[in-house]
Amino acid sequence: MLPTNWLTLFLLGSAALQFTDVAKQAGLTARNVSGGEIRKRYIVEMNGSGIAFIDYNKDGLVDLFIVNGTRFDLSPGAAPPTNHLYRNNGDGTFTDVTLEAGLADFGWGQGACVGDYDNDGYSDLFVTYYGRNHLYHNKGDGTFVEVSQAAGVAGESGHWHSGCAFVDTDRDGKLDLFVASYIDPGPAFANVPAVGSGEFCQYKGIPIACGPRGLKPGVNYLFHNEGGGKFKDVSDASGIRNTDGHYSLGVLTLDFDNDGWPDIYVACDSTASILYHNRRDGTFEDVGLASGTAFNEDGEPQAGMGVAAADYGHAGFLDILKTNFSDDSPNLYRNKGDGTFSDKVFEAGLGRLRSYLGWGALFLDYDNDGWSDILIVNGHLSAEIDRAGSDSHFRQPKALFHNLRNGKFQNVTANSGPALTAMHSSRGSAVADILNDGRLSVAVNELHEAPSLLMLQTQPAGHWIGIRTVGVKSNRDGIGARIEVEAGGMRQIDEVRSGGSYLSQSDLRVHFGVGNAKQIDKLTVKWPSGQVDHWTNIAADRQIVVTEASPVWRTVAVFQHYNSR
Amino acid sequence: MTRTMKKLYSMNGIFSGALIVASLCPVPAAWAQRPSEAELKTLSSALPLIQQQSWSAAEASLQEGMASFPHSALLSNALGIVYERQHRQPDAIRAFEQAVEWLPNFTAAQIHLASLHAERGECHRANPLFLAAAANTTDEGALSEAGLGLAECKNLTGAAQVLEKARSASPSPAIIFNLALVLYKTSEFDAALSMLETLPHGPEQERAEVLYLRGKLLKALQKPGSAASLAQACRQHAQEDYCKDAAVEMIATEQLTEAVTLLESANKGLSAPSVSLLCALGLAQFRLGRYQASIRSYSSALNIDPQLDAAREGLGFLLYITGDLEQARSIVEQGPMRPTVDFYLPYLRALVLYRTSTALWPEALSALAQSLRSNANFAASYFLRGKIDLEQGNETRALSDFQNAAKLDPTYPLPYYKMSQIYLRQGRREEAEKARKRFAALGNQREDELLAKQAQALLLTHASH
Repeated sequence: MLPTNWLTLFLLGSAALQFTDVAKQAGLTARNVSGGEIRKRYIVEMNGSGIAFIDYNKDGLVDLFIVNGTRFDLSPGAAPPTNHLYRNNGDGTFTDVTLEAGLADFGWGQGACVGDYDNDGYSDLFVTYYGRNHLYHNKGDGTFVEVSQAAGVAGESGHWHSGCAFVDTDRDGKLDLFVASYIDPGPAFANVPAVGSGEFCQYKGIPIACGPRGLKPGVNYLFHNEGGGKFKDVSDASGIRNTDGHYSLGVLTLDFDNDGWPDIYVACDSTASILYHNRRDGTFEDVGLASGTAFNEDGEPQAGMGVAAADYGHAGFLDILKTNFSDDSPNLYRNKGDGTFSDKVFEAGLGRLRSYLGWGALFLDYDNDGWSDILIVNGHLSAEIDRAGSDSHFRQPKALFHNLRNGKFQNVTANSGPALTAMHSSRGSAVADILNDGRLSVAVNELHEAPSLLMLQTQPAGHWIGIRTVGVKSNRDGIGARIEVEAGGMRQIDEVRSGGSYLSQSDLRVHFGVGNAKQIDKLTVKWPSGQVDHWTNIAADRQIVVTEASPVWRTVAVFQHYNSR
Repeated sequence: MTRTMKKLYSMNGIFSGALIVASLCPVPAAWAQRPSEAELKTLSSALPLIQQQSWSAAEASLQEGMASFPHSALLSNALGIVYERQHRQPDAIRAFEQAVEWLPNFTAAQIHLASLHAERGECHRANPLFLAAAANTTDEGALSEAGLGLAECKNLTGAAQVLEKARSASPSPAIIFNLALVLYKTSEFDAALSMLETLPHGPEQERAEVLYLRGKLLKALQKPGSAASLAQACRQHAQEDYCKDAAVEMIATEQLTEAVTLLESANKGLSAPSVSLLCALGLAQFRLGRYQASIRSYSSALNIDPQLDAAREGLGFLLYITGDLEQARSIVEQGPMRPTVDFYLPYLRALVLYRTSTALWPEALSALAQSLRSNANFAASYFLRGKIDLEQGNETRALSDFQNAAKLDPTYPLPYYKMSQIYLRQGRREEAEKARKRFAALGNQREDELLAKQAQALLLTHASH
């Protein structure tokens, strides 16, 4: 048990931390496009897009990729809106390198996930679309080449693909690819009913774009990495389609039962969410119902959007956070360690978000006290919603919850800086240590606006460690590796994770706050290959690289602004 | 009589005032024999005293006349009226009985006597007199009065026949309306609506009571326009019943924004805020997601009447559903904990305690036990108890509770979800799949929605009381 004065000190310290939106000063100015800003005809104009941190040039600084949508009524000849890649300059600014990187594609971009699928040492990028997906192979020279057709992961035109994650489902050292699918509206939404034309086209009496209910659900995909840049569609063979119709959105990979095999959780809108349990034979079984993660505690279908995982109570198992629609609460599924979960959202103090429509979901230890906090970004479907006159508006504040270390969280939004209370209609969110100084920053894709970059203005009181995994026998990015950190009397776990939040990608490096511990007593990595490595007595407050089966770790790219204590 | 009619027909409003029995003046068709000039002279001398409400003088004058005409039905009837005005019911009854005895077809006396019996709840005496009076007259006023009297005595068939006779004699708006009202009461909705439509177009059709009755009939017939008609009635005359029924119908038909506008306006039109309207307003605001406004409405209702279970339940539920568990608990626990308390309040308390903390689950179970003592057939109580059982690892008892809940309410989907979960964990895959399919077939409604419906139903039940 921690001494009371220590606890008080940290609680006070965390309360003083202020987030500021530095996106504009950082040069992140590309405006999101997602259909009509005043009126929206189709649901695809409402859902917005994800955002992804990726160190594409391997300089030790995470860069930012922003997925963009488009409009149905683009003027002929007008330049279409594109996705954007911003290179991290390491001084708090970013440079738009979209064109030179070869990423200036356009369309109804949805989500993004990162993984070095060919194990060449450079993280690749997968972008989902309403329409055919794009797999960008990182050539290692600062440019990408789109290879989705050749790789066999483009999906189908007319299908609405949503969340994605690279995951080595069979632990063969090659990253497979899971792609969720929201609905199957057909090309150009031609068969979708008009705004306000049915019971699924209304919101509190306001006619809005139809869906997802009433529309044909999409089907999820699993592509097995065959090597040589080729994937094989094993969606049917793997059993992931042995489920009822789902409107799948956010994708989260995690080993929820600690059996060493990656499982997949999919947040679904208006239908049961899915927990694909890895049966270790190339197949999956949906255990959402039995585990208690398909619905909320009472079996209520929810409008699942974003997802995140963390062991927020230091129990040794990963818990799940899921955001939902307005007039509902998020889910905080506490992992009971027996293959089942309990939704603790109310007991944890997260139940008072009923006016918020949550999208991006993040666990992040922003004050580095060693306990995962929660940031949820919110926003309603369209500006038309405001006509309903409800407490839930198109633009909404974000919600930051501080972990009180007793299973409860405290909403500290109002005291954590104007960047959190500013009103936006947020969608995808991702977290990264952009200056390698232990301060976590959050990038948010804001509907019809330039993105936000929420950055702490002061250094958190707690110490920290950032860990980049390099697989050898395992996939090169070490995706799926289970990391255990023992420091200051605490034992924490997390995993290297592709995808997550709402159609987004956070820093592949895993960040742990360690409170007042100045060193990591023991670092353990359980690699997807089965290899288990230990390192001891690592000085805190640095980004390190650990390599599979290597006894040494090394420090990388400690930025000059780092404030040593 | 008019007073009692109003009590029965809350919606007949001004029309009931238009129905005046010719109490003192003879009804020609009712006379079997003509009164003498001397009798009429005696009555004429008493009339000014009656009009001046000089009851003692009028009584003395009539008694004097009776001395001269000991079997005068006319004077005995007048004397009965004087007694009635002095609230001397036994004397009045005796006088009217004598009048009827001496002149069996004296319509006015029959109606007066019948009305007095009706007021005393002696409908078995009143009904034959009303029917006899109606049989012997073609006077629309007398017929109308007899019809309404029969309606008051629950002889709706008789009332309809008599009012129809009145309408044939004189299709006045008042008679048409009252006939339509009686037909509504006899569930002859089509006929009632058709009758109402015979009212002349214009102001008569736009009267609040007519709009209200039309709205009720359209609702009964499941025809469109009910909410609009009820709302128009409320706008015409911000009477609590009109506005409450309009709001209920608007909420039921998802016209939530309109309901809020109507109720806010209606409440301003009342001399004092109405608890019913505030509760209905809170419900509509809740359904619209205007949680803060809804909390204010329910709080206002509760401030006006802290004993009102409906307002406390509404506010407690709203706070529970919006996650303000601390406040919800406070509101619910401030409620009356009398042994006879409605089952819903302890159930709601259990819900709040369950969500607040695992440490409060024993208290939640006690609250559930209290709720079940008041209502052992409320499926949701068993469901909640089953959830607690399951969380505490008692799968057997949990399964029993879920099965019980499903048995009590076969349309309640949530127990099937939990049952399928338990079966799966127990490896009973076939039963799990069966329960899951049942759960899916029932539409796996959200508990929020189910609870909101429960709360709404309870609120409306309270409101109708």
